[in-house]
Amino acid sequence: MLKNLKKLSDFTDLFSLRIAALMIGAILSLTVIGAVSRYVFSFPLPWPMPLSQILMIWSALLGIPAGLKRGEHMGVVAIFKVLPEKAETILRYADYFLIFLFSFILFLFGWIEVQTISDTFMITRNFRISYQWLVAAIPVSAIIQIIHLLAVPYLIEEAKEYDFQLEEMKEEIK
Amino acid sequence: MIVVFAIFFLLVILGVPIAFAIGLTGMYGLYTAGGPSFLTVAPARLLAGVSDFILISIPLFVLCSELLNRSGMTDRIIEFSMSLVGRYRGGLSHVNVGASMLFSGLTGTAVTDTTAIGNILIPAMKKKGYGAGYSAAVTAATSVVGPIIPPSLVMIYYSSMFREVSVISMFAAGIVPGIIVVIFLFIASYLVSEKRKYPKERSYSFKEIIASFKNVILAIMTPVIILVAILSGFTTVTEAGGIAAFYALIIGLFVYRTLTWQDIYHSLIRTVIISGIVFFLIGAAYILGWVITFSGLPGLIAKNMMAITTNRFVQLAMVNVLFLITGMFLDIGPSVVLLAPIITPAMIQLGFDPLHFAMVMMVNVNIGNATPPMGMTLMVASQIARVPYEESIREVVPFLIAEIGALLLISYVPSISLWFPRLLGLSWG
Repeated sequence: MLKNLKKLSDFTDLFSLRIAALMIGAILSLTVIGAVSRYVFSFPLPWPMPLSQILMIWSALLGIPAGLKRGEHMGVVAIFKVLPEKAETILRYADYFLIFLFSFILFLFGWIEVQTISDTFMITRNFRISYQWLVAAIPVSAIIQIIHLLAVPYLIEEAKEYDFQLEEMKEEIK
Repeated sequence: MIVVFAIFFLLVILGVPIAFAIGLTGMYGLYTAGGPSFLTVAPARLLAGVSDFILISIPLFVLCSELLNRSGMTDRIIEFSMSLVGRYRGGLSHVNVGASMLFSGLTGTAVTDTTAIGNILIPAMKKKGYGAGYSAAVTAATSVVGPIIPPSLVMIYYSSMFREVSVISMFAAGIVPGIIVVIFLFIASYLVSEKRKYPKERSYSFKEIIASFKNVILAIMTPVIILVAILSGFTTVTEAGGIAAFYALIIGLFVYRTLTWQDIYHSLIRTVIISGIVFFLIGAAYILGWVITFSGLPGLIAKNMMAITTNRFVQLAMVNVLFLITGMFLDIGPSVVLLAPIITPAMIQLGFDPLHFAMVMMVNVNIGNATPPMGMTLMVASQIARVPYEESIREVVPFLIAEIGALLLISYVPSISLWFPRLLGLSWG
């Protein structure tokens, strides 16, 4: 069961990361298209920036669970070093439970917001989309976080194996 | 509000990542303010925090620095820095300071500077007889200029939180204070090197200096392009970020030919993760910020500060001490998103210039990055140097004194920060 949850977490992580990476690539392309159109052809396009804004919101919110899965959200980890191993594990479980609570509240009220919001987001003067498309990024991000948290023993294993700073340093070196 | 902050600090001490601790504390504040129905504010505020138009530039600047890092820019920058200052006593120590200044324009984040420069210079310094602790300390201390000299991620999200200062004015304001911090660091590096008789490196001929400059010119043109484009009003900050990332891609792929498609893929993935971490901090701070504003805390702080003293010199000193203490425990991002919504409105109410105060805060919380016990760059540099953290703490003291000296100058001489934005005719406040 736990192994399947881990597989689900890994799959969701890779899938969402690749989608978000594509979005970053799209933001870059849209920004360059917008700048070239405005400054080279003196023809400002109205849609690159609003589209970039939507992609930015989605890519940023998809990046939050990716940071959680890798233990990269900044924190003060000194207490883990001074506690005995068993107490450390219990505390880590408690921390992840609080993060689960946060994610659950965000998912629940984010979902309610998606259901109830009636505003629109302007892409061009004649083309608007429902604000639901933007707000939906919050419950999606929260549910991915919850999926990662369901495989919490693996998260703890990973967090124990690599000290946060060391992990970040290794990533930078790569 | 005391309970709210007590919960925040308890969560942080118990190891909850800071952004989650801020978000959870914000949710608690919302719940106590109006019951479960107030929790609907949480997703709305989170979304408001991450959807500001100006923030699009953050992933673009991160992508730019990732691409430049993977193109092997670090070696070229260090070589150029060596050609300029390597000949003096403690040459490698000065090279570290110079490289950090040049690198800061490319990355805008201190830990990236520490890792990139530290991985090359720390082993070289150790080999030349500099102590491992000193090598770590100088690398960590000099990296703090990264987020002060523009472009700087922390400046972008600070300005997204306060309409009083634009990113453009902050970028313009950061240049002179950044250079002042670098000058103070050079002085500290020189004094320590003279005292310990650290070695000199070989002198470079003028021809060699020009050759190393040619090697690096395309890379160090990146911040120049960004700043000229933004400060001249030619492009927006977001467009400048896009142009810079595109430029980094082109020179990495076709000029230096060191960038592979695999590098581009990894750069995009890292950009997603780093952006997620930064954006979450901002979004979570928006949740807590709502609670802080609702409680009227900034007004209360301003009133109490006036009750304690009306002397602006002392008021600024009090805030500086608060920032330094916070910086000792929290990283730059969390320090800014936590303190700015409380302190900045209070200081503006007290009549401080919003841009000058923003620069004081930027310099101050950045110093915290190299300050024990939780100095992020100092920890990373110690790990690279494979030296006990305590040894680096001892060695970083002269550099911290230099940085605090620079901070005092920047705090009490507002024209250091305001002269250049005024020269450009920028307005704020």
